[in-house]
Amino acid sequence: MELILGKLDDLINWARSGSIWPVTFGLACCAIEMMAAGASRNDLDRFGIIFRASPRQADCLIVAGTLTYKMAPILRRVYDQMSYPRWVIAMGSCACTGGVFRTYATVQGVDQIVPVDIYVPGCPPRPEALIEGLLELRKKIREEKRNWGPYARKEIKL
Amino acid sequence: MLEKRLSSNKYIYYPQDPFYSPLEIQMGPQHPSTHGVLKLKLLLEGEKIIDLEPTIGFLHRGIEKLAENLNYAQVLPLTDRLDYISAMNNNTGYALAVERLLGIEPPPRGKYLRTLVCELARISSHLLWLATHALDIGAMTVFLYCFREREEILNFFEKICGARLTVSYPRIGGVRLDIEDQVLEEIYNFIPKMHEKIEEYEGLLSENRIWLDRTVGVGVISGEEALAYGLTGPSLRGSGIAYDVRKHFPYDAYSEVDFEVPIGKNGDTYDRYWCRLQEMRQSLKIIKQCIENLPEGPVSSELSPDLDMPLYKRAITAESWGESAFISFLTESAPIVPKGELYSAVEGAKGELGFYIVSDGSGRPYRLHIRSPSFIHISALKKLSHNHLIADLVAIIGTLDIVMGECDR
Repeated sequence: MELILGKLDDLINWARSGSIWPVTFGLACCAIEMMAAGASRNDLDRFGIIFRASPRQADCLIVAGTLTYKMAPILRRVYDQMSYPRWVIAMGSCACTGGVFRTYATVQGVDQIVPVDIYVPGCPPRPEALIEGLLELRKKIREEKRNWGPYARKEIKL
Repeated sequence: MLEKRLSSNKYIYYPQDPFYSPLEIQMGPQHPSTHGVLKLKLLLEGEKIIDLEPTIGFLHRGIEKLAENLNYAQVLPLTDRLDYISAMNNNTGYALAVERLLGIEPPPRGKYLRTLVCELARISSHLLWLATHALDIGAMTVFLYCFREREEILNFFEKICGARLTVSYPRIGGVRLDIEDQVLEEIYNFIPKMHEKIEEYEGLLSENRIWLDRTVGVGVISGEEALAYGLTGPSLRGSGIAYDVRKHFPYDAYSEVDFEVPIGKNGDTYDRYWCRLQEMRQSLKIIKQCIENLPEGPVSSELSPDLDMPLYKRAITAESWGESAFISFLTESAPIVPKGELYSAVEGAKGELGFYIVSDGSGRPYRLHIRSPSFIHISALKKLSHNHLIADLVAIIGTLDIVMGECDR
C-alpha cells in the first residue's frame, strides 16, 4: 500500500510540476520582467508554464512587485479564489521584504498576507532569476508527499 | 427580415422603463488589460459605457514622502521606480531639475550620452506599449516581435550600466560611466536593423482590417479638449498639436540634434499608434546623430553632489567653559543648496514628466512633487470612453499608455 501511494505521489507530482500555470498578478516593475520571462527570448512555455488571467484555473501565484496596504485585501482574495494545490512565489525585493519602500503605504513582505513558497530577490529580478525560482518551485513540488485527494485537506488525517 | 435586424442592432434606451437599470461593474484592479493595478467602476447600458470612474492608488508607495528623508543624490534611484519602462527619462528629468537648482552644467559628452540613452529608453517604452496594446486588442504576434527587439535594447542597457530596468545611469551632473566604443558601435549597427523591424510592425498592423476596425474612430479627442484635459506626449500629438518639450524647451543635447515631431490628424487610437511608431523612427534618427557627433571629454561634472551630502554647512566655535572645552554649533548654518522652488520638465515616453522641487537650503528636498503624465491621462479616460462599447475600453486604456507606478507614485 505504501509503495503504491509513493508511486502515485511521484506520478501526481510529475504531472503537477510539468504544468505550473501561474496567475498574472503584476503589480509594479517586476511585472515587466515577468512578461519578459514569458515572451520571446526567455520562453516560459517550454517549461509548461502558461500565464492564466483567472485565479480559478491557476496553480501558482507570482506576486510581482510592491504590495501596498490598499492592494493587500485583493491579493488575499485572489489567493483564496485559487483552487488547491496552490503555491506562491514572491518576486522582487518589494514582495520579499518591502525593499526600498519602507513607508506608511507598503506591506513589508507579502508573507504577512499569504504564505510564500519561493522568494526571488532582486530589484527587479532578471527573467533568468524568475526561471530559477520557478525551477526551484518545481523541485519543491516533486518532493511533496500526499498532497492530493483526502490527504491534502489538513483536517482529515489518514 | 432586414428591417428587424437593423432595429435589433440599435439599442433603444427607455428611461421610463420600470425594469431598466444601468449595470454597474468593477473592472480591476487585478485585470490583465488595465496595465497594472487600475480599478474602473463602469456604468453600462447594454454594452455601452455611459459612465466611468477610475480608482487609483493601488500602487501608492510614498515615493514623494520618502524623498523628503533622503538627500538629493539618494533620491535618484527612487525615480527609476516611477515609470519603470523608461527609467532613463525619469533619471534625466530628476537630474535636470536638481542641476537647474544647483546651477550645475554637465559636460557635453555627458549631455550627448544622456540624450542617447533617453531615446533608447523611449524606443523600448514604445515597444512595450505596442506589445501590450496589440495583445489587448488581440494580436499575439506583435507582442512576441516587440519583446524580441526590446530585449536587444535592454542588453545595451546592461552593457552600459549593468541593469536592465532600474538603471540609475544618468546622474546629477552627467552620467555615471562612459560608454565603451564597442557598445556604441553595436548600437550604431542596431539602428538600420530597428528601422526594418518598425516596417515589419507596420506591415502587421497598419493595414490590418481587424486593427483598423478596432482603432479607427475609437477614443476620439480633439486638440482643444486634449489641451484642456492636460494630455501631453503622443496622446496630445495624435490630436494634431505639436507640443514637445524636446522642441519647445530643449534640454541636454536636443537643441543640437535634428528631428521632427510627428503629429496625427483625427485624434483617435489609430493616430496615436501612428504617432508613436513615427516617434520611434525619430528616436533612431536622434541616436544616430548622437553617436556621430559624440564629443570627447569627461562624462560627469566635477560639481555633482556626493551621496553623503551634509544636511547643512555648519559653523563650529570652540570656547572654554570651565575646565573642558565646549563646542557649540552656530544656529545660523549656511545653506548648501540655493533656497527656492523650481519646476523642470522633460519629455518622457508617456508625456511631459515634471519635477517640482521646494528647497529650504538643506541637503534634502523640502518637498518633491512629480507631475506624472499617466496620472493626468487617466482623468481623460471618462471623456475618451464615453458611449463606446466595453470591448473598446481596453483599446482606450492601452492607447493612453498608462503606467500605474508613475500615476500613484
